[in-house]
Amino acid sequence: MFSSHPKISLKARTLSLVGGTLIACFLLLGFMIDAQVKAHFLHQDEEELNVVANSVKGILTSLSMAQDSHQLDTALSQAVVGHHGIFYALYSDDNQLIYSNKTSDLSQFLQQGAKERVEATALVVIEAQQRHLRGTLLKVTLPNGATAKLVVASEIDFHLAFLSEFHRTLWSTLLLVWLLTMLAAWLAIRFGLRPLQRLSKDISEITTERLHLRLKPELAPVELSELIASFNHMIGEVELGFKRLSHFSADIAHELRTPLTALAMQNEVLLGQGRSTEEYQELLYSNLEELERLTVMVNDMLWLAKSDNGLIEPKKQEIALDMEADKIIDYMSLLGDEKNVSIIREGSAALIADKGMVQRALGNLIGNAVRHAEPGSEIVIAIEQTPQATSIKVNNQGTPIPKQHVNHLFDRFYKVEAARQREGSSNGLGLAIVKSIADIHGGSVTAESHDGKTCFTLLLPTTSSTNF
Amino acid sequence: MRILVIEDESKIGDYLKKGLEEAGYTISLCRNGLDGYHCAISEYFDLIILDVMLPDMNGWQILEKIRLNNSNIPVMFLTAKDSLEDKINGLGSGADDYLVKPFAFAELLARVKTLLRRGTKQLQSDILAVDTLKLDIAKRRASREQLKLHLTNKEFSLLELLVRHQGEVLTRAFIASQVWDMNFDSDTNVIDVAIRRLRAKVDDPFSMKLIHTVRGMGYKLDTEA
Repeated sequence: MFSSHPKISLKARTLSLVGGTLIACFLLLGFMIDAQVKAHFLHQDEEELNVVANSVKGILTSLSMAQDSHQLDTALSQAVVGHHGIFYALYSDDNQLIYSNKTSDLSQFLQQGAKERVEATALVVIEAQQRHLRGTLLKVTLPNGATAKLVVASEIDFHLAFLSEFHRTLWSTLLLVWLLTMLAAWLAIRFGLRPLQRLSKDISEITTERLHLRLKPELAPVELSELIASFNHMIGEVELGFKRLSHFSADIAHELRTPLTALAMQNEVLLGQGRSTEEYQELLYSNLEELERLTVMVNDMLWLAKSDNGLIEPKKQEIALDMEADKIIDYMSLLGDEKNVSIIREGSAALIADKGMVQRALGNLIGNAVRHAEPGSEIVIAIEQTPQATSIKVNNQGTPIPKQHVNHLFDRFYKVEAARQREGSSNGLGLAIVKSIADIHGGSVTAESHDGKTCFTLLLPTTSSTNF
Repeated sequence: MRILVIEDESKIGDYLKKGLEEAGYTISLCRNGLDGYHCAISEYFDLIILDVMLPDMNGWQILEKIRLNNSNIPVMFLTAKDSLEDKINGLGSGADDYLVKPFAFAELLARVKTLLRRGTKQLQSDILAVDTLKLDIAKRRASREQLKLHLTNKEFSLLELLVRHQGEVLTRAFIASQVWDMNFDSDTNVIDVAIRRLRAKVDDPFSMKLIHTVRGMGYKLDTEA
């Protein structure tokens, strides 16, 4: 799930993501503001210089040709009033200074191409006598009709000073805001993860002895409630399985203890003094019989344990259920005849299932029915089928099973009457195995008992298309 | 007939040897995989009984090496884990048969006999006879001391099975699977009932009893108990 970078903490990931994004945003913001402010100043300069240029041009056209250069100087010196830091100078075509309103040397502008009017794109910045000037070169016509060059420039040191101050303020503010945001994000994550830490502490308190503990969804944020629900569900399943397993182990211990005690005692007593060969032989035979029974029980328990762990794969094949039932009935009839109980089948069906398992389930159900059937009665195996499900009902007449026991019939080692010994050689696992077989096939087995009749219903899917 | 037993569990090894020797076979017992393998390739045997879980070399490796030696001697596996069943059942494992522990010795003996019989094809005779009992397989008729026995179809099959395995102990599970095709451990005593009924017809009217109960194991048909 976290395979790519399992060790980078959630906090570091989030912080680096937030931090990186913010840096990118702030850089963009800063450069945009900077560009806007600079453009604003440029535009301002362009307008101002345009006013000055037009004023100078107006003077030049208004003067008559006859006027001398002194008069020109005077007129030009009055061209700009109320504008500070404005420089302009008139040059002849061969770059001879005709007039300059300040002493500053503007000759550096002469290298530019002369324009008809002031254009923002044509403005250049030069440095002259520790001043930064922004200006342009224009074509003008002198009163005497000759063309000349006009330089208009504006001092921008004030602007530059403002801009550098502005930069400092802008970037330091952005840095501060970034730091504050990161702090806020760090705190948010720190406190945001606190419910997880609490959850982890709660989870660590759940042990095998305390599987009943559950996490409380109301104490955690909404986002975690689903996680908590899944976790609680999982623990529920684990608790159930654990309980079942420990009950099963206890049952096993109990069921094995009785025959083991008998075996040990029998051997001890008989070996206590010398016996005849026949007596020893009898002992060994008796041991063998008991061990045989134990072996069958252990095999059955192992089968159940494997089926619990999903280790038993049904080998699917088509089964003619009526034929299988008849074979089992033929086999079990030997027992039925002993009690004068007849076994008959009704209905037929074909289904896809594990043949061996179906045989075993039916065998166990019919064997159970014969064991509990009233002498002289009839056992009816009724087979019914729909395209989805096949049901096999095993009906017998006999002492009804009390209601409180019916639901437990399929429990392992369950005894309807605690004091009564199991009849015949049944080891109390037969019906549990039937249930497991039904489960493996995605089917079910149920029992009902009333009016002196008991009926077990085994329900299996007709085809295996469902999750077999 | 010589049988090689490779089994590390000492008690099981000892009693396999004892039991098989008493059944008339010559047994070599090896208690680890390496000895077993050397024995298997240096001497002649008719059958190898091999425990899958051995401390040094496991049964698969031994079998593989034996088969590499171009030997098709029958091999029977013994295993305590029935999860290995599928693997053994699978193609190419090279084993001829297997038994899951715990198993009944009678079962093992029956399978050993079957494996040893394999290859030496026996003509299935149409008439089987033990003492005064005669079975006509084709006509499915049985008689004893010239008297016709009235047997049901299944009773005849059961008797035929016992006669064909004369002198062998047949377990209840084996009988159920051979005669009724019931391949599960039933917790009922159907076989006991079937045998009792068969006895009523085959043995009870006659002084010489042929069907014997072997307590804790099963049944056998023989002229002596």
